[in-house]
Amino acid sequence: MNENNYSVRLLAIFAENRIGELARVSGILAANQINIRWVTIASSNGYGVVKLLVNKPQDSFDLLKRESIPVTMIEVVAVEVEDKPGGLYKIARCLADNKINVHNASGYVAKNSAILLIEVNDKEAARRHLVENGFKVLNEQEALAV
Amino acid sequence: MYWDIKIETIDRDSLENLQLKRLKKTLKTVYNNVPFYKEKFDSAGVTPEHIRTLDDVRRLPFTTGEDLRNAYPDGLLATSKDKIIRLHTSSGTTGKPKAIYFSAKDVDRAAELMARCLVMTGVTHNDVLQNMMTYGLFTGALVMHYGAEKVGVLVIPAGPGNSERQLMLMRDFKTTVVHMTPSYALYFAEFLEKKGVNPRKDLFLKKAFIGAEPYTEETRRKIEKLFGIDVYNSYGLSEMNGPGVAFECECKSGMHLWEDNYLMEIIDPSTGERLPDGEKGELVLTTLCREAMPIIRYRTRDITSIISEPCQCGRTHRRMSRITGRSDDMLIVRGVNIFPQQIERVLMGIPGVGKNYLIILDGLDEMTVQTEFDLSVFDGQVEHLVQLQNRIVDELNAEILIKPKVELLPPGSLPVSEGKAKRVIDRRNL
Repeated sequence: MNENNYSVRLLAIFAENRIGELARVSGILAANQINIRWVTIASSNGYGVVKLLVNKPQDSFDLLKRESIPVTMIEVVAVEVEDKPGGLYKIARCLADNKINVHNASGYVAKNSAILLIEVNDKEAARRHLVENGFKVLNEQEALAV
Repeated sequence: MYWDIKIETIDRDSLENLQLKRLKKTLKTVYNNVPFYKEKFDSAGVTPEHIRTLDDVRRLPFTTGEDLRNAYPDGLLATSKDKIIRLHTSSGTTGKPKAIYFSAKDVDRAAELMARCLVMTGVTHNDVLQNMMTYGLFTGALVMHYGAEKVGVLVIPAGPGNSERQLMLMRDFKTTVVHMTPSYALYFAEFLEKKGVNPRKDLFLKKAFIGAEPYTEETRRKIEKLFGIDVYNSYGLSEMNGPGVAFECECKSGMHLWEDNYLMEIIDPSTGERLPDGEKGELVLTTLCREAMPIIRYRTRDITSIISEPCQCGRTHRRMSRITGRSDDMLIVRGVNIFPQQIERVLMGIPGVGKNYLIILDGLDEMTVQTEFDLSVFDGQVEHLVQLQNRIVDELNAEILIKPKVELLPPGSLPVSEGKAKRVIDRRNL
């Protein structure tokens, strides 16, 4: 379902005890042969949210739900960043110029490219502006393949 | 619909004459047969002969829960023991229980009052009642059971808990009416959702009698919406037979208290002075028909007020409003009087907040309110949880005038009780 719409699904897990919850969640996923490709932890005011990019998002979501883990699925835009100085700047400039409000962003470097995952309200607008400005926006399969 | 139209719609003058006649008889009985009352009346300088009008009742001393506890196990019996056919106890959270005895007439009268209540809400002999209260020393289940049988209802004595079995019974026997606690009703709604059962379509429920724990109007509406049924508020206490003391009619605005059986007063809990109708205070009840164990001016500790305006249903027995707290549940935090029900009301009014909560009092008067967020509002953004938390703090602050700490927890974090929910943990070292 997600191949063509250029958004990448992440699992977001509410975690009071961040490391403990991460251990529990990754344990469940490992036991089910699910590969975690990337992880980030956000916290504020004592609350924490663990976000995961996994190779089987829907299966993982169902699995965690069954284990009564407070999980939700969010969609983000994945864009390839040139792995050299100024790479991130160009993307940030493009989003700022087009008044795209970014809630959260995080990146990872894999093999020979760097990927930035951005959480925005209007994913379609973000994607359009990025593509128009010559950036490569990845779909879920591509983001998992790097 | 009426169970006993003559007494339920009796004119006020006749009702008050009946009350006075029964009160005088009760006072004579306790004065002559119960040493506790003789001593109490004597030391207050009052005898049954002094009580000539209903208003004179204010001259009589109160009976408290402590008095009943002290009388354990023999109770404040006014009859010989061979006349007693039933014992119930009221679980004291502290110390000894209270022993409540019933004669055959008392059991029948309790069932009779319950029958009035059930018919008042539209229950008929065609209904099927699943009684999900605890059968045992607690009066809740048995009095309802006997009353429903009197009406000709098919009663399923299910007892509480075991949600799987409750659901099976509901489906197989086409239950139309349930009797349960509010916390179990909320828990059960969640259970049905998990099971993929839509109570509006897949079950046959029409009504619920929710009682044994105080709950707010918001909780009533929530339960009505979750199940697609009518919820009737009820009031009772073991000391006064259990359920069936007062019940809502189909108008659902206040509970008719059966004044031919109970004399009701509202007092200021700190001074003991009688308050006029409409004012909020502690409910005080005197039994007018009890044979085995009459109780005079019993301090129920329940906070309510009397609604004296006539009700559209035609019943002349005055109504009491929803219990807003217990005079001994009242928390005093930083000098402010707070009832747990106030917290509940605020939480229920905020979308995205779950059904469970816990109030923790700690240290030097620190108050923390723990509650659960609904998974539907969790979008992976921590900031949104912080915003929800701040909103709860602000709204609580507006209601209770102090600023508590609020902790939002994921669903399922707080214990759900299938009986009386424990909502307050007091760890203060004051």
